[in-house]
Amino acid sequence: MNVFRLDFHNQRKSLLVWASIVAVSVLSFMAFYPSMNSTDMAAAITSQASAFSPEMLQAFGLDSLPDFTRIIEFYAYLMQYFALAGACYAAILGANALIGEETSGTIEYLYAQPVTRSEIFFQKLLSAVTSYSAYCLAVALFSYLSVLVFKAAGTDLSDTFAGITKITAGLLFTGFIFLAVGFLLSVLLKSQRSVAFLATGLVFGTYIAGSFAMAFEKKIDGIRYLIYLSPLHYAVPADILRTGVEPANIWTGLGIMIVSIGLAYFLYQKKDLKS
Amino acid sequence: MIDSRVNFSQDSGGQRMMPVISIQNLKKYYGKSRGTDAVTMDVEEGEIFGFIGPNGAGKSTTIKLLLGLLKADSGSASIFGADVLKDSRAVKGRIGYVPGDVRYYPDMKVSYLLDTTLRFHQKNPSDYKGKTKEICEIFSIDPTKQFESLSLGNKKKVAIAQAVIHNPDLILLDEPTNGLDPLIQKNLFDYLRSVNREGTTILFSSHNLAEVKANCRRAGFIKDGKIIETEDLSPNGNQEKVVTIALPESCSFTLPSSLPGAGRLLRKEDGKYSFHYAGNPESLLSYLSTLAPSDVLIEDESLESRFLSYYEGGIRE
Repeated sequence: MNVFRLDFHNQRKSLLVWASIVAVSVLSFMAFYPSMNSTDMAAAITSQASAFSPEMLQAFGLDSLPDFTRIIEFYAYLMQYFALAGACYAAILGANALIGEETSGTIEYLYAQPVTRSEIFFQKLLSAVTSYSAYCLAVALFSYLSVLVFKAAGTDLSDTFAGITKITAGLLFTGFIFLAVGFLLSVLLKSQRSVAFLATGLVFGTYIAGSFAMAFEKKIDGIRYLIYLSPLHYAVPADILRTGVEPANIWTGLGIMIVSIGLAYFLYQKKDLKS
Repeated sequence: MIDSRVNFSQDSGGQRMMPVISIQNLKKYYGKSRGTDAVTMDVEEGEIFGFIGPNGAGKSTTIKLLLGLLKADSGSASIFGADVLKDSRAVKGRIGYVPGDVRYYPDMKVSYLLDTTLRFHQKNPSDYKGKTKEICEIFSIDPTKQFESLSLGNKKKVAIAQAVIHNPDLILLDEPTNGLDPLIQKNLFDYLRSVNREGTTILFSSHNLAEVKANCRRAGFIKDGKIIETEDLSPNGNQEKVVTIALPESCSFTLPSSLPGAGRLLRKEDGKYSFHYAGNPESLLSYLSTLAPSDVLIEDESLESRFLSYYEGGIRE
């Protein structure tokens, strides 16, 4: 497991930065919850929301208006945006994993060691999965903490924590899809230089396509299938609380992961490792 | 063209020795651009082999093909009898490699890099503290430094240290002395010679003919992706002379087919002709007496003249 160890060692700083930023952000945004927890504020939000068209509300995940007086619903609404950040991190992790060593030239060191391409591939995949899982764990821990700090009197903690755990599982699921697609990009790209741009473009591009499909699914025939282009729409936090993740979304997500990783593995065995 | 005059494939008892590196028709193109074009050569066990050629001749590509970093279009290569691609892990377990352009993990400490290399080779770093200290002293390396803070020469020294720290059976060095000061160059070759005496086989590429001549038993010349000659550099190796004769301008000179041992015409300039000669002295002197030259110079052929004759394209007028 030396490749894993080396790779995780090299990623620890970026993991710390991403986890710290999201931890501070979760705490900061959850600090607004006490001000939401009033019937006046709920009425004000309902009144403001009615001014928007149904398509706009759908695009912002407000189609069935959350009850912001419940901390878990407020949290779920916030998490749909944190999921975007998580997806970017996962996609960047995946996309940097293999091409990063070639662009920086360190592949000449790594591949001169007694390791096979398969070991490099799978241990780097494991390292990226571990980093992203650690990131999600940090998100979950700071989410639990924020609930303990900002909860209203009478909040059912076990129910709220169970909701956070489910949403974190959704965050892991969507992140792993982007990580797998990022891994495929990592084999296809010729340089690391465009990785951040492509990875964030992948996340926001697919998210916008999915949002557009959701907003106009009733007006444009067939457009609803565009939702399958957007992994972030497979496990929307508010939907996870309400209905869980649809089996079709789980299978589609798993299919994307398997195809991406399989294709990436096949191509990595054949390619020249240039530095 | 592979040199058939020099046969290091047999030891003094006439037994066939196993080549540590065996390359057969290894061809690699990057699109239309040539990397190597049917490289064929052997490196024998326990020798120091120099790999000579100008920039772009295919030295680094050959080494990267041996490591499996690049995939050959055709041909094969084996190290210690094992295919470099199929048995990649086992083969690399016995190799130390110094890249031409050293680029390691920027924020990694030298000590961590050396320990990581040992771990890759299934060796416990704590068992190698003495060896690590010794190597760092030989090459004047500060193991507490971060890699990105090192100068070009110091990076090279770290690359050498990580290539030898695990006691490999074969060391591949791609232009190892680039960026090294003369003292460390001397330490490097002293060290390489000492591990070679213990049985380690060494292949290094270089532009520096003096260091090849001083350290190698054989050298392979690569040109346009092909090995054009493998030269015996041992004291009893190449017996070829370069003969230079001065003739009156009215005389023309062509290499006599009747003179056994006469080689290529190397130079034709202002009535002076230089050619290779590997026959016996009596025949040469007898032949020269028939020409009545105004001047004759017979000298051992230097590696430099070999290099120039290969890469300047033969006859220079």
